[in-house]
Amino acid sequence: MTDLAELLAGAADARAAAPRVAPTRPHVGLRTASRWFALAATEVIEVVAAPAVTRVPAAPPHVLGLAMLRGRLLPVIDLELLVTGRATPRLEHGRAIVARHGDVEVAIVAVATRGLIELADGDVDGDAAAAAPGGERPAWIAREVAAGDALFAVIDAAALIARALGSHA
Amino acid sequence: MTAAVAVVSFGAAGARFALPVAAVRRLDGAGPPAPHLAAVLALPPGGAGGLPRVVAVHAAGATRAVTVDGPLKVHAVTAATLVPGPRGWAIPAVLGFALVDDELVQLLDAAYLVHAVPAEAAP
Repeated sequence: MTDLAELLAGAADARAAAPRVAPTRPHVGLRTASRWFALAATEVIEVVAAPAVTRVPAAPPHVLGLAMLRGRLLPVIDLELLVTGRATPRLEHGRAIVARHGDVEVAIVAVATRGLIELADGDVDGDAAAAAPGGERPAWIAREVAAGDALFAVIDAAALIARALGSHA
Repeated sequence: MTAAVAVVSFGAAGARFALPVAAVRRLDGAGPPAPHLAAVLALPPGGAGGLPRVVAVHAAGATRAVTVDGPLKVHAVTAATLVPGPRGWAIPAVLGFALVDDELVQLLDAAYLVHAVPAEAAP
Protein backbone atom coordinates (compact mmCIF):
# COMPACT_ATOMS: atom_id res chain seq x y z
CA MET A 1 0.00 0.00 0.00
CA THR A 2 2.81 2.30 0.88
CA ASP A 3 4.44 1.58 -2.45
CA LEU A 4 1.25 2.43 -4.27
CA ALA A 5 0.87 5.66 -2.33
CA GLU A 6 4.41 6.59 -3.18
CA LEU A 7 3.83 5.73 -6.82
CA LEU A 8 0.75 7.93 -6.98
CA ALA A 9 2.47 10.77 -5.18
CA GLY A 10 5.44 10.51 -7.49
CA ALA A 11 3.19 10.64 -10.56
CA ALA A 12 1.41 13.71 -9.21
CA ASP A 13 4.75 15.40 -8.61
CA ALA A 14 5.83 14.57 -12.14
CA ARG A 15 2.65 16.08 -13.60
CA ALA A 16 3.12 19.21 -11.53
CA ALA A 17 6.71 19.55 -12.67
CA ALA A 18 5.91 19.05 -16.37
CA PRO A 19 5.88 22.27 -18.45
CA ARG A 20 2.35 23.57 -18.89
CA VAL A 21 1.07 23.90 -22.42
CA ALA A 22 -1.15 26.96 -22.83
CA PRO A 23 -4.51 26.18 -24.43
CA THR A 24 -4.82 27.34 -28.01
CA ARG A 25 -7.69 28.15 -30.38
CA PRO A 26 -7.80 28.26 -34.16
CA HIS A 27 -7.71 31.74 -35.67
CA VAL A 28 -7.60 33.31 -39.11
CA GLY A 29 -4.83 35.86 -39.61
CA LEU A 30 -5.11 38.94 -41.76
CA ARG A 31 -2.45 41.44 -42.65
CA THR A 32 -3.12 45.12 -43.20
CA ALA A 33 -0.46 47.59 -44.31
CA SER A 34 1.63 47.36 -41.18
CA ARG A 35 0.59 44.50 -38.95
CA TRP A 36 -1.07 41.14 -38.46
CA PHE A 37 -4.45 40.76 -36.85
CA ALA A 38 -6.29 37.55 -35.99
CA LEU A 39 -9.91 36.59 -35.57
CA ALA A 40 -11.20 33.50 -33.83
CA ALA A 41 -12.14 31.00 -36.52
CA THR A 42 -15.58 30.66 -34.96
CA GLU A 43 -16.26 34.31 -35.88
CA VAL A 44 -15.06 34.03 -39.49
CA ILE A 45 -17.61 33.16 -42.13
CA GLU A 46 -15.42 33.23 -45.20
CA VAL A 47 -12.35 34.70 -46.85
CA VAL A 48 -13.00 36.27 -50.24
CA ALA A 49 -11.22 38.26 -52.92
CA ALA A 50 -11.30 41.98 -52.16
CA PRO A 51 -14.83 43.01 -53.16
CA ALA A 52 -16.00 46.09 -55.03
CA VAL A 53 -17.00 48.74 -52.51
CA THR A 54 -19.84 51.24 -52.85
CA ARG A 55 -19.39 54.49 -50.95
CA VAL A 56 -22.22 55.45 -48.63
CA PRO A 57 -23.25 58.71 -46.96
CA ALA A 58 -21.75 59.88 -43.69
CA ALA A 59 -19.63 56.78 -43.11
CA PRO A 60 -16.68 57.14 -40.75
CA PRO A 61 -13.32 57.08 -42.60
CA HIS A 62 -12.50 53.50 -41.58
CA VAL A 63 -15.75 52.22 -43.12
CA LEU A 64 -14.94 52.15 -46.82
CA GLY A 65 -18.54 51.53 -47.83
CA LEU A 66 -20.71 48.54 -48.60
CA ALA A 67 -19.91 45.36 -50.48
CA MET A 68 -22.36 42.85 -51.91
CA LEU A 69 -21.27 39.37 -50.90
CA ARG A 70 -23.48 36.36 -51.58
CA GLY A 71 -26.53 38.59 -51.82
CA ARG A 72 -25.78 40.38 -48.53
CA LEU A 73 -24.70 43.99 -48.11
CA LEU A 74 -21.86 44.26 -45.61
CA PRO A 75 -19.98 47.26 -44.23
CA VAL A 76 -16.32 47.08 -45.32
CA ILE A 77 -13.83 48.01 -42.60
CA ASP A 78 -10.17 48.99 -42.92
CA LEU A 79 -8.44 48.21 -39.61
CA GLU A 80 -5.34 50.12 -40.67
CA LEU A 81 -7.39 53.30 -40.96
CA LEU A 82 -8.81 52.61 -37.53
CA VAL A 83 -5.37 52.17 -35.96
CA THR A 84 -3.06 54.49 -37.88
CA GLY A 85 -5.28 56.64 -40.09
CA ARG A 86 -3.54 55.28 -43.20
CA ALA A 87 -5.35 53.09 -45.69
CA THR A 88 -4.58 49.45 -46.35
CA PRO A 89 -3.35 49.23 -49.96
CA ARG A 90 -5.91 47.78 -52.35
CA LEU A 91 -3.87 45.10 -54.06
CA GLU A 92 -4.89 43.07 -57.08
CA HIS A 93 -4.76 39.94 -54.96
CA GLY A 94 -6.14 41.59 -51.85
CA ARG A 95 -8.56 39.75 -49.62
CA ALA A 96 -11.43 40.42 -47.27
CA ILE A 97 -12.44 38.42 -44.23
CA VAL A 98 -16.14 38.25 -43.51
CA ALA A 99 -16.66 38.21 -39.76
CA ARG A 100 -19.82 37.85 -37.74
CA HIS A 101 -20.80 38.64 -34.20
CA GLY A 102 -24.42 38.03 -33.31
CA ASP A 103 -26.40 38.89 -36.41
CA VAL A 104 -24.01 41.63 -37.58
CA GLU A 105 -21.56 40.83 -40.34
CA VAL A 106 -18.68 42.95 -41.59
CA ALA A 107 -15.97 42.54 -44.21
CA ILE A 108 -12.41 43.45 -43.20
CA VAL A 109 -9.93 44.27 -45.96
CA ALA A 110 -6.47 42.69 -45.95
CA VAL A 111 -3.44 42.47 -48.19
CA ALA A 112 -2.95 38.84 -47.14
CA THR A 113 -4.55 36.23 -44.93
CA ARG A 114 -3.25 33.22 -43.05
CA GLY A 115 -5.17 30.37 -41.55
CA LEU A 116 -5.82 28.40 -39.66
CA ILE A 117 -3.31 29.32 -36.98
CA GLU A 118 -3.37 28.10 -33.42
CA LEU A 119 -2.98 31.01 -31.03
CA ALA A 120 -2.53 30.73 -27.30
CA ASP A 121 -5.20 32.21 -25.07
CA GLY A 122 -2.70 34.27 -23.10
CA ASP A 123 -1.23 37.66 -23.93
CA VAL A 124 2.28 37.94 -25.35
CA ASP A 125 3.42 39.54 -22.14
CA GLY A 126 0.28 39.79 -20.07
CA ASP A 127 0.37 43.57 -20.09
CA ALA A 128 -2.67 44.86 -21.90
CA ALA A 129 -1.46 48.41 -22.38
CA ALA A 130 2.23 47.93 -23.07
CA ALA A 131 1.92 45.43 -25.92
CA ALA A 132 0.43 47.84 -28.43
CA PRO A 133 3.02 49.45 -30.66
CA GLY A 134 2.88 53.17 -30.31
CA GLY A 135 0.96 53.28 -27.06
CA GLU A 136 -2.50 52.42 -25.79
CA ARG A 137 -4.06 49.30 -27.19
CA PRO A 138 -7.51 49.79 -28.72
CA ALA A 139 -10.31 48.18 -26.75
CA TRP A 140 -11.18 45.97 -29.73
CA ILE A 141 -7.79 44.26 -29.59
CA ALA A 142 -8.21 41.61 -26.93
CA ARG A 143 -4.57 40.60 -26.69
CA GLU A 144 -1.38 40.14 -28.70
CA VAL A 145 0.11 36.74 -29.33
CA ALA A 146 3.34 35.72 -31.03
CA ALA A 147 3.10 32.80 -33.43
CA GLY A 148 5.82 31.78 -35.84
CA ASP A 149 7.44 34.87 -37.28
CA ALA A 150 4.58 37.25 -36.55
CA LEU A 151 2.87 39.05 -33.71
CA PHE A 152 -0.92 38.82 -34.01
CA ALA A 153 -3.28 41.37 -32.52
CA VAL A 154 -6.31 39.26 -31.65
CA ILE A 155 -9.56 41.04 -32.45
CA ASP A 156 -12.54 41.14 -30.11
CA ALA A 157 -15.21 41.02 -32.82
CA ALA A 158 -17.98 42.48 -30.66
CA ALA A 159 -15.83 45.42 -29.57
CA LEU A 160 -14.58 45.98 -33.13
CA ILE A 161 -18.10 46.12 -34.55
CA ALA A 162 -19.19 48.48 -31.79
CA ARG A 163 -16.18 50.72 -32.43
CA ALA A 164 -16.26 50.58 -36.23
CA LEU A 165 -19.98 51.07 -36.72
CA GLY A 166 -20.34 53.32 -33.69
CA SER A 167 -23.80 54.33 -32.64
CA HIS A 168 -25.20 52.74 -35.81
CA ALA A 169 -24.33 49.23 -34.57
CA MET B 1 -49.52 42.44 -60.17
CA THR B 2 -46.14 43.62 -58.94
CA ALA B 3 -46.02 47.11 -57.47
CA ALA B 4 -43.27 49.26 -58.90
CA VAL B 5 -41.95 52.68 -58.00
CA ALA B 6 -40.39 54.83 -60.70
CA VAL B 7 -37.10 56.38 -59.62
CA VAL B 8 -34.53 58.66 -61.20
CA SER B 9 -30.95 57.54 -60.61
CA PHE B 10 -27.77 59.58 -60.79
CA GLY B 11 -24.18 59.47 -59.60
CA ALA B 12 -22.13 61.04 -56.81
CA ALA B 13 -18.59 60.14 -55.69
CA GLY B 14 -18.65 57.09 -57.90
CA ALA B 15 -21.79 55.63 -56.30
CA ARG B 16 -25.32 55.50 -57.71
CA PHE B 17 -28.29 57.04 -55.93
CA ALA B 18 -31.97 57.41 -56.75
CA LEU B 19 -35.01 59.44 -55.81
CA PRO B 20 -38.65 58.65 -56.53
CA VAL B 21 -39.81 60.36 -59.70
CA ALA B 22 -42.65 61.82 -57.63
CA ALA B 23 -40.12 63.75 -55.52
CA VAL B 24 -38.27 65.23 -58.51
CA ARG B 25 -39.64 68.56 -59.70
CA ARG B 26 -37.12 69.35 -62.38
CA LEU B 27 -33.98 68.06 -64.07
CA ASP B 28 -31.64 70.65 -65.57
CA GLY B 29 -28.44 70.40 -67.55
CA ALA B 30 -27.33 73.61 -65.92
CA GLY B 31 -28.76 76.16 -63.57
CA PRO B 32 -28.06 78.33 -60.58
CA PRO B 33 -25.21 77.02 -58.40
CA ALA B 34 -26.41 74.18 -56.21
CA PRO B 35 -24.44 72.11 -53.68
CA HIS B 36 -23.19 68.79 -54.95
CA LEU B 37 -24.86 65.68 -53.58
CA ALA B 38 -21.45 64.32 -52.56
CA ALA B 39 -20.97 67.27 -50.23
CA VAL B 40 -24.53 67.20 -48.93
CA LEU B 41 -24.22 63.51 -48.04
CA ALA B 42 -20.63 63.76 -46.74
CA LEU B 43 -19.47 61.16 -49.23
CA PRO B 44 -15.75 60.42 -49.37
CA PRO B 45 -14.12 61.76 -52.52
CA GLY B 46 -13.62 59.47 -55.46
CA GLY B 47 -15.10 58.11 -58.61
CA ALA B 48 -15.28 60.07 -61.79
CA GLY B 49 -18.78 61.16 -62.66
CA GLY B 50 -20.53 62.11 -65.85
CA LEU B 51 -21.67 65.59 -66.79
CA PRO B 52 -23.16 67.48 -63.85
CA ARG B 53 -26.94 67.87 -63.73
CA VAL B 54 -29.13 69.81 -61.33
CA VAL B 55 -32.03 68.00 -59.68
CA ALA B 56 -34.82 69.92 -57.92
CA VAL B 57 -36.13 67.74 -55.10
CA HIS B 58 -39.49 68.35 -53.43
CA ALA B 59 -40.51 66.93 -50.07
CA ALA B 60 -42.14 68.05 -46.85
CA GLY B 61 -43.42 71.20 -48.52
CA ALA B 62 -40.03 72.48 -49.64
CA THR B 63 -37.95 72.26 -52.79
CA ARG B 64 -34.15 72.21 -52.93
CA ALA B 65 -31.71 71.88 -55.79
CA VAL B 66 -28.64 69.62 -55.75
CA THR B 67 -26.00 68.96 -58.34
CA VAL B 68 -25.44 65.32 -59.27
CA ASP B 69 -23.30 63.41 -61.74
CA GLY B 70 -24.88 62.12 -64.91
CA PRO B 71 -26.03 60.12 -66.62
CA LEU B 72 -29.60 60.30 -65.32
CA LYS B 73 -31.62 57.12 -65.71
CA VAL B 74 -35.20 56.17 -64.94
CA HIS B 75 -35.85 52.74 -63.43
CA ALA B 76 -38.80 50.81 -62.04
CA VAL B 77 -37.92 49.54 -58.58
CA THR B 78 -39.87 46.48 -57.51
CA ALA B 79 -39.72 44.23 -54.49
CA ALA B 80 -37.65 41.83 -56.57
CA THR B 81 -34.93 44.41 -57.12
CA LEU B 82 -34.66 45.44 -53.47
CA VAL B 83 -31.64 44.30 -51.49
CA PRO B 84 -31.71 44.06 -47.68
CA GLY B 85 -29.48 46.65 -46.05
CA PRO B 86 -26.59 45.76 -43.80
CA ARG B 87 -27.63 44.38 -40.43
CA GLY B 88 -26.76 46.54 -37.49
CA TRP B 89 -25.86 49.63 -39.46
CA ALA B 90 -28.31 52.35 -40.40
CA ILE B 91 -27.07 54.77 -43.03
CA PRO B 92 -28.50 58.27 -42.81
CA ALA B 93 -30.34 59.53 -45.89
CA VAL B 94 -30.68 56.05 -47.37
CA LEU B 95 -34.06 54.34 -47.15
CA GLY B 96 -33.02 51.18 -48.91
CA PHE B 97 -31.04 49.55 -51.68
CA ALA B 98 -31.88 48.12 -55.08
CA LEU B 99 -29.89 46.14 -57.57
CA VAL B 100 -30.61 47.58 -61.00
CA ASP B 101 -28.75 46.40 -64.11
CA ASP B 102 -26.17 44.75 -61.82
CA GLU B 103 -25.51 48.08 -60.14
CA LEU B 104 -26.22 48.88 -56.49
CA VAL B 105 -28.51 51.89 -56.21
CA GLN B 106 -29.02 53.69 -52.90
CA LEU B 107 -32.61 54.88 -52.55
CA LEU B 108 -32.49 58.31 -50.98
CA ASP B 109 -34.90 59.82 -48.48
CA ALA B 110 -36.15 62.96 -50.26
CA ALA B 111 -37.21 64.59 -46.97
CA TYR B 112 -33.72 64.06 -45.52
CA LEU B 113 -32.18 65.60 -48.61
CA VAL B 114 -34.44 68.65 -48.55
CA HIS B 115 -33.65 69.13 -44.86
CA ALA B 116 -29.89 68.75 -45.44
CA VAL B 117 -29.62 71.21 -48.32
CA PRO B 118 -29.36 74.87 -47.28
CA ALA B 119 -32.42 77.00 -47.99
CA GLU B 120 -30.45 79.21 -50.38
CA ALA B 121 -30.31 76.22 -52.71
CA ALA B 122 -34.03 76.55 -53.39
CA PRO B 123 -34.41 76.63 -57.16
